[in-house]
Amino acid sequence: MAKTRLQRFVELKFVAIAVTAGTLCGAVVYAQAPQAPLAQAPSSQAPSVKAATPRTADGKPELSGIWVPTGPRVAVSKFDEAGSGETVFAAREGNFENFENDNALRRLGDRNKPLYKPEFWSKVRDNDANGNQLDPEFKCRPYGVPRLGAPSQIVQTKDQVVLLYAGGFAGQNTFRVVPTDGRAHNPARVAQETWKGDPVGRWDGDTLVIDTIGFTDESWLHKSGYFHSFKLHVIERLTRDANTLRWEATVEDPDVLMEPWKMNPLVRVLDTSPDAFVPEDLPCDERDGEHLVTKTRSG
Amino acid sequence: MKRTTFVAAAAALLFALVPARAHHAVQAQFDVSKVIEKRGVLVKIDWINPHTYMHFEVNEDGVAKHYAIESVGILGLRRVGIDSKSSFKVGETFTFSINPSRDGSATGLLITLIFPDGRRFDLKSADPAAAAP
Repeated sequence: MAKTRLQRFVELKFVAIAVTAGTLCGAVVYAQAPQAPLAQAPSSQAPSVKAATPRTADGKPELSGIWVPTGPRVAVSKFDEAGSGETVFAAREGNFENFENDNALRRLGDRNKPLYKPEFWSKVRDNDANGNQLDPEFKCRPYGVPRLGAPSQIVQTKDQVVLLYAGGFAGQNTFRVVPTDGRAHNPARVAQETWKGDPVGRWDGDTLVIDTIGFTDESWLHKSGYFHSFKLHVIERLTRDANTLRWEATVEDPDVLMEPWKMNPLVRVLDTSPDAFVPEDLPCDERDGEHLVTKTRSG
Repeated sequence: MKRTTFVAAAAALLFALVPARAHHAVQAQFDVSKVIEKRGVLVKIDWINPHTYMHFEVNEDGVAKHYAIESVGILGLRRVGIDSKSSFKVGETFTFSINPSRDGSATGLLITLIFPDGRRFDLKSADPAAAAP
């Protein structure tokens, strides 16, 4: 019975976009949103001899550095008349509305969705439909974890890893200090229920695993209205392979989710420029809400 | 080769157009099918996220009307070569074109900005394909 209802939910979510998605012919837009998946590792020209992953004095992979998105930041593909499917230009019909609409469809068409308990399906749909007003990001609230995605810079020491974030208007140059000395969660910090929670790190082979609890219930996991409860538990995995960093996150929330949700992974590459730096984000002051005349959202 | 240039231009244009993240759909606020041109005196710059704002006093039939013009985010401005708030001088006269608001307010989305010295910056094209070479 439950399965039937779940299937109906999935159908409701996808039947409309499936039709439209067919007409998009696999349109792909790489937005810079942290939750946007990067389909593949950056380099299509793999070197013949793979670079070794640098290591620290104690043998751990060296995660320190500035890590930047890769691949085309914005590129839309569509099939041309010859059906080649190559990237030709950035919006159906060269039309700006379609550019936004395609971004939205791509976001909604992502089949990797958290599976909420049935009593929360309507809330998720309402959040998404009214996201222009309800999304914390719209009001310049922080993203929180895990919506921050992959860090912009990592500073690694023997007993702790510092993660620095920038690049979004709600990201606002935030930081996380993750102890890796084997300590357990700090009950006092967990009780504070913050946007970034209380993180602890450990090494699983060559992967840094960050376990975070102690969250507020005000942040969203994703732009599509994916809310969560105070019971949010996020497990992130950071893995360096040569000059590539892979970020993965699994979300657990027994109060609202039926099963853990594995988010789309993100891939970052090391910025080796000596001039590389994490830019300062401007203060965020939302002024558009009163002027919006439709609920249209983009990607 | 031509296609490569075309794609690069279209991608660069849209990268400039889209802020670090899509704050909201532009079409929910502005009429992207219309472009109007104005000329006015710059009275204030708001160097903020999620969008920078340029405020102009425009003389309309002898009456000074205040326009709050929304621009792309800081990344988009820097990409076209406008690096900082001090690139602008309050009190100077600019020519600008905008997608007008849909709610009738004296707001708009900046498309083209022409500085007093003639420097022209294209911040947004209503038709990405049309801007390709």
